[in-house]
Amino acid sequence: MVSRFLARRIALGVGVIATATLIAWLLVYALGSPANLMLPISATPAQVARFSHQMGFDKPMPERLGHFIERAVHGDFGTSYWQSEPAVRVVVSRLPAELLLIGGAMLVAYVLSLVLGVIAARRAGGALDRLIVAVSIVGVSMPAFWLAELLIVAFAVHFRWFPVGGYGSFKAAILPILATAALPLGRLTQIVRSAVLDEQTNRVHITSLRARGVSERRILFVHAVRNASAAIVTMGGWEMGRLLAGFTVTIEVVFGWPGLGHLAIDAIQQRDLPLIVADVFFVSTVLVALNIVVDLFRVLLDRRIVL
Amino acid sequence: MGGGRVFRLRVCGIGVGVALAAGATATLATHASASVEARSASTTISIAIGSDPSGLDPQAYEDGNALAVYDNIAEPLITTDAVTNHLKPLLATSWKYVNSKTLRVTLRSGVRFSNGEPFNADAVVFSLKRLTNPKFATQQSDFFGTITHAKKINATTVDVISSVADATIPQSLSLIMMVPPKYVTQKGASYFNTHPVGTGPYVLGSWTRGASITLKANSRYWGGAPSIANVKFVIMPEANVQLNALKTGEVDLATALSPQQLPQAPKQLKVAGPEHPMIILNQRSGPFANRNVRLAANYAVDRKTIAAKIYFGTAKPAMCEPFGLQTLGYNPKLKNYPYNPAKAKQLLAKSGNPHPTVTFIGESGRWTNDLAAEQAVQGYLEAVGFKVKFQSLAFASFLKQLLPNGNNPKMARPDMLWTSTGDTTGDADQKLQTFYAPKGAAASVNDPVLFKLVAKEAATIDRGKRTAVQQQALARACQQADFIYLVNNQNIYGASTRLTWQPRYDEQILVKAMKAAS
Repeated sequence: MVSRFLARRIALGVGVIATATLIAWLLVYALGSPANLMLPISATPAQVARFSHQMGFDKPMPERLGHFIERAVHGDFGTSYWQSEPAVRVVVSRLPAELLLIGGAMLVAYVLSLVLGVIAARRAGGALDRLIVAVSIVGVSMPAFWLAELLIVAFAVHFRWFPVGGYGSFKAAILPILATAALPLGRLTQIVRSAVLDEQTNRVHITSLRARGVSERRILFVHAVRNASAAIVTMGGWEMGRLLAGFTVTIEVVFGWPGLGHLAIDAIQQRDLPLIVADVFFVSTVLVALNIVVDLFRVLLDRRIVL
Repeated sequence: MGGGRVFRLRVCGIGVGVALAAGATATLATHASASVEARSASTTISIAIGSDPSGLDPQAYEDGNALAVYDNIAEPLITTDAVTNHLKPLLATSWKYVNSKTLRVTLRSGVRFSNGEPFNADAVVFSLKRLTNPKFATQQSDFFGTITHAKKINATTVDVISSVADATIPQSLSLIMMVPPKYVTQKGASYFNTHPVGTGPYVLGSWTRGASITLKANSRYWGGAPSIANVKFVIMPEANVQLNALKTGEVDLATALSPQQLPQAPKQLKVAGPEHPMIILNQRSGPFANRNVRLAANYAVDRKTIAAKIYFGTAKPAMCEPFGLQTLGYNPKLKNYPYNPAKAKQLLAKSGNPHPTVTFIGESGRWTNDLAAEQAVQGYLEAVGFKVKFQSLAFASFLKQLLPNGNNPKMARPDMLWTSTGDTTGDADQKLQTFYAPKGAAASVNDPVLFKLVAKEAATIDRGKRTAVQQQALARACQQADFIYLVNNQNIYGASTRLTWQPRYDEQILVKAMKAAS
């Protein structure tokens, strides 16, 4: 069953990735010849023509598309104009920073949201609950780049606890991770709170646990959270997808963090078409893989789900 | 970096051109710099740049972030003065024209690349051959212009040869970086791109893609080891973050500050730069075919206020030409039209149409505060009676308007076209041929007198005569009010209080010329 499910999901995923990549290719190449944009303003028409020829921009569209597909199938997305290296290699070189940022942010978001959500659910209606809900709403609604700037002004410029930007040290990773974590943390806290509240108040098995004299804390942290975990994992996966799909772009740019989002912006600014397409390919691949993993996790966590 | 900076930043040689002449002076200087090095051997500075360099092959790119780094690693034959942009010796000690297509260059002897390879005539021949090879597909085709190759005369003498008579070979040589032949041949282009070697004052330490690059002083540098031992280039795309990092002391030099942000920097560095924002008036058709209307537009604009309010004091009102004293051909006698709205109205009345309707094409974001400047011009013109149909285009569409690229010379030119031009060649010729010639890629002029002068200057090789003709051409264009020259932007940097540096006209960031208290 699981293998049939996997096979179907992977086949669908490949379709999604291919479609996204193809659309990205069509969009960037629909701009026409990028030679004018890439060369200095003072380039002569002869220089533009020579450059177009070298880059293959002068070939007809179907021929270029065929060539692209043929190479893409072999994992070759061409050479980055900007960095003069295979585009795939440039993208892969940015994966560690991307994974560190998103992984770190999701870890912070999961751990804190479980704690905060359960506390809020337990004190539902109380002052602490309201405070947590208010803070989570701020986390969800505040634009990421704004929060990033605020964190910099407070903790880097005023208190000088962390560097303003940079990459490569533990300290430099803290502020970017916190800025990235704010959105999923806010949303997950709300999910955990309502899921736990739902379990706690409406479920027969919880009532029976209470009747058996199981402590309220155990009911909360073991039974209620466990049953709510499928929803939490699903939402967490979805949040992680959102981060990957572009939410981190502004944060990476603000902190000078060398992740995929920052690379996408650079690629667009440099009119580096192979790099844009390779970036889209990687992001959609990771997204599809993430969705499959989340679905599998749900099965493990909730035996009621049948594939 | 402010709009165009990233793209237009240019290469030009090393700041404090140390031309050590006599042996005694040489010994003294070497001792002096050695003791400076001993005292501050541990001095490290950080420089914030906007983006990861394209690569570090000093012959491949025209990207400002790449230049910022490799200008400290590799050197050209000739350099320029930081402020006046006048040519000075570097790896060449002297040069003279043998004929109108041949420049004989005498090389500094005893110089070695940082890998130990000797710098000599063979290295010059190789460097030019590599750069001009079409297969190499450099972005620097602008830099070498008409130069085709170099010929070795002896170990320290080469002839640099151009395809046509060219008075600007020395200027071109100030842009062309010398590379080590053996190293490049053995290691290959892609290795050289990440492990560059040059004759310069610094060598590459490390490169963390997308994050930072470190350089170390080249202890064997022919000009004596530089006073700052280590340099770290940190990638900070956000100008705000660069400013904050300056305030906390994380970086010593911020390269992307906007004029608005500059006053907040601990130390502000400014120097007149090449950029000259201007409006191209279409003489070929429409209201601006009438000289009185062009004059009216010129009198209508208050350049002083634009410099002070739009550019926050980081620009000076332009002279009646798109050049400063740094460009040969600059005419020091041309005064720009003063702000005189009453006279503008009179001129419009005299033209027979006190309320001409004109189209105005601009863009936003490519140059510092460009949209605000465009809107200010629109406002000034409307105040004297013009009806301005302003349109801000995406840059790609804007470029099609600015440069029909010879594909469609008959394409209608907009009445007014915003642009900003920065001479990067040291000679007025390139801009004259682009904006003032009948077939110029961005020309809207229609003046046979001007066309004759522009053709004549290109054909004149004698430096004195050529400059004189260029000055005449610029005077003619000024008198005919062919353009609205607005301002001359300054190159601006935020610095930490411990850093001392004379910023450069050509925007090169040469750490060798910096001093930093530890």
